[in-house]
Amino acid sequence: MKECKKFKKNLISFYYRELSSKSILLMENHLKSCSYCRQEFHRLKQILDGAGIFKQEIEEEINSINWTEVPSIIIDRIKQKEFSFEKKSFFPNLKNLLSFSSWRPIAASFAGLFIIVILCVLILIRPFDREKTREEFYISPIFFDQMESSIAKNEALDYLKQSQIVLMDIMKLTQNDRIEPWRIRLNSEKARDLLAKKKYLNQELNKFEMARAKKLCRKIEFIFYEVSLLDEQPSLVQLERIRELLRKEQLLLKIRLVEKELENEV
Amino acid sequence: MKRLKEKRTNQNEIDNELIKKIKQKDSQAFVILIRLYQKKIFQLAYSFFQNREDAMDLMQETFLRVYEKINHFKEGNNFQNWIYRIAHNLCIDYYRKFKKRKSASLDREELNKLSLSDLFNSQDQLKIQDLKEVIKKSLAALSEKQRMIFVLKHYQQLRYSDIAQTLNISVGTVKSLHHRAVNNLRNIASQYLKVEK
Repeated sequence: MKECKKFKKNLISFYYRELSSKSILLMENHLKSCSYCRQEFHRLKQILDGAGIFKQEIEEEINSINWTEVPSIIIDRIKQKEFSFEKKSFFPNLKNLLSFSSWRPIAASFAGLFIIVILCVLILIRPFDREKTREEFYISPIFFDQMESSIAKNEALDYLKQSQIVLMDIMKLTQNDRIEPWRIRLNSEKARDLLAKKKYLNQELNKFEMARAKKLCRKIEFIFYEVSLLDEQPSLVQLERIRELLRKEQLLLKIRLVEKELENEV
Repeated sequence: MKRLKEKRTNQNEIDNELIKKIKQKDSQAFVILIRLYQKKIFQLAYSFFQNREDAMDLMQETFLRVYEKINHFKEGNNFQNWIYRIAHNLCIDYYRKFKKRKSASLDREELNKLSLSDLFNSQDQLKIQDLKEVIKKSLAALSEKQRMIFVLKHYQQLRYSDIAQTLNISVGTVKSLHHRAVNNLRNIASQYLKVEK
């Protein structure tokens, strides 16, 4: 049986006549004497010979094909392919080139390297850049103060001009006997806006020592406070009181003077 | 044996001469090369796919690939093994792409449909047509590699060393895979051929 195992292993090689002549002889003698191995070889032969029947079908197929035409078909296909390749090569398709699998790792490593280089350049060069920027846009504190003072004066001038318009309108209102509610409401809203603006203006006036403008603005603020409190149908007495205040303080005249003073300074 | 060796050497010389000319864009040489190998490649593809159209397609595709890659072929190498390797790779690609589902990746169901009682006549003789069917289905039930090795060995009658070179594996692996293929084929077919296991 141990011997049988050895022979069984070589049965396929024996079928294909791949054993040495000595081994073939030994196998033939063993098959004569061992019925088990003989049967085994018979089964194997049946299958492998059976596989030969399929070979006949292949031969039949081969014989049914017109082989003289085949080379010309292949040559035509090559020509077509070469023509389309030539056409394509005028505009090489980068996407196809990149989609080629063997290019992918190379392309990925190049992309990674490029990103690393860019990052290194940004990290190394950026601080010098910032210093450069600081030098280029350096502003002296004196110039900065002058600029701020100029802006503050312009703001104050603007405030006074707007106030002048509102106050003149109020003066005209009080000169007529007929009171139009929409004009009262409009002036009252404007007064409230200017009061809000004055809050911001206060800081600027303190900072740049514009004493006269500051004093005048405070008086205007008081008048505007009164105006903002007016109803839609104010009494003539209320309006007269405001008019009296304006006249007494000579506010319109003072505004004009301070305006001129600021305009000269600016 | 000596004659066979001489025949192979002559074949190699002819192949190398043709390849030299093909590399110089000689289309006539390529036509001769096609005529020399067209039937062999068709036979290989047909035994793998068991289908005429697929085999024809694959044969044409193989020659297209040969023409494209001819400059990669090193002079002195065995051209037959090289073209078989191309055909083998295309067979595997084609099989994986289009055929896996359709083909009998274990076509046992179809095998079962064959009426076994009809396979044998009164003298227990198998009808040739049915035997062919059983063999075909059993062959299709083998794995890709086992099937290819069986085809190269049994139908193309290549030596183990040539198969090893074609498939880029060792001779020992080829032998082992071939033995396994034959045993599997026998096991699958014996269920239907009334052959005792």
